[in-house]
Amino acid sequence: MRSTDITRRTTWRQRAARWLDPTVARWDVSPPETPEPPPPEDRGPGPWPAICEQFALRILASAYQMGAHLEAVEADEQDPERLERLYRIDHANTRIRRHAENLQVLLGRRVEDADPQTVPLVDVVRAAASAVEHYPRIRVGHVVELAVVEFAADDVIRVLTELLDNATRFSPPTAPVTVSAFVTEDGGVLLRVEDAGVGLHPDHLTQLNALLTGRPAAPVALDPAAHLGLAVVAHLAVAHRLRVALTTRPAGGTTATVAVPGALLCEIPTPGPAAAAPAPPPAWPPAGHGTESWSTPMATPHRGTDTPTVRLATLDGPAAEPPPTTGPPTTGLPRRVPESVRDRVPAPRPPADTGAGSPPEAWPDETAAFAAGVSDARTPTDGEGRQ
Amino acid sequence: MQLRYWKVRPYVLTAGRTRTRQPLLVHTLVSVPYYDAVFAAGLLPEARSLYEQARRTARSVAELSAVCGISLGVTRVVVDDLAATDRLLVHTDHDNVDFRLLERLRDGLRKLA
Repeated sequence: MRSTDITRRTTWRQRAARWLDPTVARWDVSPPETPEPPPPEDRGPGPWPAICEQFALRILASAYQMGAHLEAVEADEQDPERLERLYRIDHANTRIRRHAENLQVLLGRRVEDADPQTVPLVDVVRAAASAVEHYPRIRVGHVVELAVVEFAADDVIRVLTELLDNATRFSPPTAPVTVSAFVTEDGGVLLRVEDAGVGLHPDHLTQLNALLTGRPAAPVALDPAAHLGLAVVAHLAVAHRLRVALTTRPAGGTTATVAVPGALLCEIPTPGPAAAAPAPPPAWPPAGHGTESWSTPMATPHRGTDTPTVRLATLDGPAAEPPPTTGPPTTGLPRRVPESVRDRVPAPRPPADTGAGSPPEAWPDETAAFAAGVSDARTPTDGEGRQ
Repeated sequence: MQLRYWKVRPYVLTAGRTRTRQPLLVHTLVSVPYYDAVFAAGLLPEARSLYEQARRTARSVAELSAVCGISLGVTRVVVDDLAATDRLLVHTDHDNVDFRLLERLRDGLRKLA
């Protein structure tokens, strides 16, 4: 009681003194104030982390919802001006999502990302850039063709986001920030973020690097607002054994490196690249050949008719469905198929219809008749095709 | 066709740009004057797939967008970037518009209405 009275009185006096003379030192006031905060901290975290987590989850849910709507609108938008505005909204929404995720990380919770998957490093870099305020300054350098496994991809994205954010924030507004990824000797990947900023003070640098290893040597006397992101990085680096370090570039600026261990890496999943480059050929040759047949000589269409692979594949499948589907889309060549099938269909159909009258026992007969019909239908078409 | 991870937002693919240097309409035809495999290998996935798809025959901007699974806004800017370095050839067909044909078509449609 008494001590608080005294401190209150001194603070009042100090305040009055400062009001009268602004040059009065502030340190007179701060010592009595610092002993007071510990008691609330000692009471333990209480319900606040759980409440914060709930808020983070709700913010995330709203951001996801908004993202889904934005995606649909962006895809349809043709007016550059409106699209630019949509991009700005999307960008703000992406940053909201990022902050909500970071809040969860700092609460020590695992972030439940929507649709996690193995992500190629190029997309890791670009996903990280998506959530950075000054993203247009980020340049993608050489990025090795590997992917980060599903359970770590989003956390690596978060780490890189914060490093990119720092790099863009603390470098000249016109200078580019370059990201690149290289394979290291031990089979891991080294992500590098290079900026041309003013660089960090050596003491500062050692403190930050200690923080990033998860073992801050001393209570970090850094401005928490300026290094908000690095706290997130430190959390995630420890969780996934990423080695994050900051170094000063001799030419000026800072390089942030993230060593991703080989255990978190894999080849880019085949369905992705297959869909990207080689898959369009399988899917599109029908249409491609169709367009080519107009411009190129007759040789290719002929080859198309001779190769039975496409037609046989459709006939082998459910016989009733393929003819209508193959008929309309393909132009010149398939015309013959529907005709020939139409001719043969009456033959298989009668047995099928009679079989339908006696359902359970007649099933083997039905299938046999159907198979016979199919083979009947097939042999004449082959003959016709050859003639 | 979804190629990218969903966290890669469209604005990051174009550095936020939505405008093009030259008018690129939905039906504007684009082709590759000479194909350079080394150049293609160094491109980012979206630019690469557009470059590869325009390689065989001239294709419209809308067609490229659909085949590559890239939104029209992004396709326009990436195609424009490639065209700026002469890697893609944009066929400006404004002179070829047959106004007489269009007028006759319009008159015919009016008669129907």
